[in-house]
Amino acid sequence: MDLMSLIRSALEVVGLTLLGVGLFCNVVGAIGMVRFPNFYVRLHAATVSSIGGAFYPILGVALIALTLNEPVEVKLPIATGCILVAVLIVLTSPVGAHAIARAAYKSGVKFEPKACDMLKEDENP
Amino acid sequence: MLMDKAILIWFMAPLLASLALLAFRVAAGPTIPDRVLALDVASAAACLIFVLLALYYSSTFFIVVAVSLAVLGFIGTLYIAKYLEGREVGE
Repeated sequence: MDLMSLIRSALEVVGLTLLGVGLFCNVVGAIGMVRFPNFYVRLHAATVSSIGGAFYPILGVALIALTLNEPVEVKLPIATGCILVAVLIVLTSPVGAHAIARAAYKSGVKFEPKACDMLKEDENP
Repeated sequence: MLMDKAILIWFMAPLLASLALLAFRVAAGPTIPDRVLALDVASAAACLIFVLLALYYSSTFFIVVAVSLAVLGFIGTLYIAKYLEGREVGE
């Protein structure tokens, strides 16, 4: 086995591992979105499902795309596009979750039982 | 590529199952932020489905769909969040 085929099989194994972990996180996050009791707890499941369940498997697909039996001008755009999508998701998903959590608090979504409420203490010292 | 490409189709089955669960949350979510959050997660999962389709067909057209889906999901979430908060976007 020469060096190139060794590198290709290593890339494929790493990509398949990332893809499998990502699919597990995706399904677990979706189950959490259904079963968790209120909005602020569901934010946790949403973050698991969008970072663990979309960022890592798309990086894995980018690694697998580098090992395709296709010419370079087909497999390289797929890999770079996958990396672009992964970077977009990892930059925009926390911003979206933060914005929607703040909007839910401001628009009066209630949650019980409440241990502490830092935002309310900030507004009424 | 060592494995058979038909395996990639079976990777889409759990993704479709999670999309069905998220569709339940979009339909049944008691508040508007619940629905928006489920749609945000569903757009990320749909991105993954389109990227897998691009790998299966060895075509770059699906990548364009995935990029626009990622950007549009984020913009929609941000607009609805600003609307719920009662302020203008960009303020």
